[in-house]
Amino acid sequence: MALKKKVIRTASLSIAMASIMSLLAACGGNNNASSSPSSSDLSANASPSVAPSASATASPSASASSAEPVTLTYWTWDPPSSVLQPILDKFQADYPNITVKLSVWDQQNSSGYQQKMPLGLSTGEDIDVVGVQGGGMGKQIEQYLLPLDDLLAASVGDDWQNKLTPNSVKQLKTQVDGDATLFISQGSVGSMVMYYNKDILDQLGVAVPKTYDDLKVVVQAIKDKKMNIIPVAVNGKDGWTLDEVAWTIAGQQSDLYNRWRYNQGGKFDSPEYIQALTGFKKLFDDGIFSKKDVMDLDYNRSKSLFTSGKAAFFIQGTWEAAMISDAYRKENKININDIGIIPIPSIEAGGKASIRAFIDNGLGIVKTSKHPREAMELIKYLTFGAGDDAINSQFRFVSNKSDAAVDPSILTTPTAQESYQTLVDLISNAPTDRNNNSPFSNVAGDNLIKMILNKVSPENTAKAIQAEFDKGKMPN
Amino acid sequence: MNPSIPVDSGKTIPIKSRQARKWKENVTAYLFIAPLLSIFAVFILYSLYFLIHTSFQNTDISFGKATDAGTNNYRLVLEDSHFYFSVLNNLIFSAGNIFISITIGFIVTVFLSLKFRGSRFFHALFFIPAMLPGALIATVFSMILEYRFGAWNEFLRALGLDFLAKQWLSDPHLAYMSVIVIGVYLIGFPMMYYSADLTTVNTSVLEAAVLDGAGLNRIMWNIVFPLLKNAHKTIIISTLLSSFREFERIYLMTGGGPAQSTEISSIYLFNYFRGAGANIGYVSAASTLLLIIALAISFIQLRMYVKGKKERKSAA
Repeated sequence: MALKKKVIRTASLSIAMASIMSLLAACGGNNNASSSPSSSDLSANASPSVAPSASATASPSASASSAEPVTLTYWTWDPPSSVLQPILDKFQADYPNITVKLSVWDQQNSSGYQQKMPLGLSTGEDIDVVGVQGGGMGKQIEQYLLPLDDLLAASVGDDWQNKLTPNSVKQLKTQVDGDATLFISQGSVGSMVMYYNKDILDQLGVAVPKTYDDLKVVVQAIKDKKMNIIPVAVNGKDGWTLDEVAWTIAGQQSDLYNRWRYNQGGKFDSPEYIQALTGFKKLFDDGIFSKKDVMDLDYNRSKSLFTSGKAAFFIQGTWEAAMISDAYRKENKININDIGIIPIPSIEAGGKASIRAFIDNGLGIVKTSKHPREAMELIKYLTFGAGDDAINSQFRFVSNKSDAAVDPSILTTPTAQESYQTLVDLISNAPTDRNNNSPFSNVAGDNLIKMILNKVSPENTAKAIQAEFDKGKMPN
Repeated sequence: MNPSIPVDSGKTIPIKSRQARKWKENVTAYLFIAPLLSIFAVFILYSLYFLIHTSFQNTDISFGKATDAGTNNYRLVLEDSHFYFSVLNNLIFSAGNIFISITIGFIVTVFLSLKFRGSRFFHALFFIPAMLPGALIATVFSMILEYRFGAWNEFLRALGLDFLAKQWLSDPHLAYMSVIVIGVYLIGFPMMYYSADLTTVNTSVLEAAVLDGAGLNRIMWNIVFPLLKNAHKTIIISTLLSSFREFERIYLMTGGGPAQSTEISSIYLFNYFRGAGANIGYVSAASTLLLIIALAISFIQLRMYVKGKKERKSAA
């Protein structure tokens, strides 16, 4: 009996010890993985000043044929893999020694990527190249990014800054704390614009609206003809979108956004912001935004209503501009002959229709990358090379290359040609930055929803938003 | 002299040596659960430590540039009326779910227990939604309840009942009601508890009631309902505690809106957390406070349960 007990005890002790050891070993193993690379790797990685080989900067095919096979892991949120993968396939054809493992997180919106990517970096995921959103993301992850200046000089040339638009270079410098260039931006995007269904406007017999009164005429025409569509699809369920609409209206009158965002005295309870909220409210009061129809729509639903012909207009950022392309519409089974872009017309007299715009689609190299030179080649291709042209030609952004141009043959209709020019003009001449304080955007947006649904006055809404900001939970 | 206790053989053994023997016997048990305990230590205790540790910091999701925040995050949470409102919503939505469970869930279960033709089919029909993912149910209902092109309003309009077509999810009051009413669709679990407890009811009690001339209504509410008190308790406790874990049903229907009217604590945390660069220290502080609230509720329930058990024992 005693022997039996002893055997059981010994066996259980062994099982327990084995389990604990394996658990600890698993934790230890993970720790090792996260703390990679080894000291020798680190010294190699931490020296971006090591000039790339002549073959890397000269002809890609020459470098490719002579180099060791390399796999780069590339995380981003935009463009979607349907756009990006064919471009990467071409890159890999030019650089046969480089294989790019692409992960596009949350193709519908960036919020999932905003959480997964920084967490991935902090837990030592094996990533070489990361997409960096314009706004707060650069400062958030700067400690994980490799300074690119020397790599850029060696790969693109000492004059790499001259190959980009001056405004994008200026904005890039605001995105990190130090002087080093930690990421480079492929293009710029802005918000909010109005996409219109030209087929519906033709059916109504109205022209593309240029003024706020024109817009009211279109809405009245929809009502008169009793069409079973909504005038404007906007995701009123999402506070951030309404916040961006309000700031777009504010930008029609002043540069308040920049003064608020860069802590230069801009306030929500200022007359300029109250005027913007009054204009925002007018959109609902005049039936441009139907309160009943839009306040339960989210992003995807509002877009699907527009692309299925159930809305005459769709409000979103310029990142949806691919819809002006006939090829994109065919590929995505959007049965609309023509889609165009206009700015939200100035609501108050004397305003100028405009948007907020900012650099976006940044690309950085992770410090722990074992292949910084190859990663730089990928960034060069996607930012200064054919990759950038390909994305630009699908209107995912407006390229930051100073000599960027799209192939005119892809702008198949006068609406597309005019809309592309509108897009470029709006982004190039944006009076304020779309350098968002994303967490606060949701808070401000919730107050705008309250203003519309609970009939709170613009003055009290402005005060409430300022009071929320003054709490200091989400500072600029 | 060492204290000693008698054993069956008539001999006495010292208490100390008995305790040692008991400890030796328990060692085996402890060793068997050691692997599980070590996993618990890593994944639960470390998580708790991490949560509490970060709640005193200002940091974002990259955890790269953490700075000491002292108790500032807790102060900010405690000063935020939305936090209290979200906890209140948790309790109100739980109360709604409990009410639906112990009324509709109870009635349907009792009727289905009458074993009429097709009762098994209906039992399965009521139970199936409880087996479906909450995210799926919420997504489907958010589409059905959309104002302009939603199936429910389209149906009402087709019947000429346009005046009944409402903004089910975008009117703050109606959205609140819609979230509660969806609980009706999820009565499968309470029905399961009631069905199991019904099998323990002594049928002679019901027979006696019938012989005494009690009607169905009286049997149901004055006899069966009190007899199923164990199921009621299980439903109340599990619903209340699960309300702090609830997320997708409400998030996918309303996103916590409109205007934060249906925001529960998990959505409050998520909405704060999802913005790029959000202070994770604040989210950790709010989570810690929620954990304390949930523990307090559990403790009160446990005390009430133990007290009730003692009273029943002493009455017996």
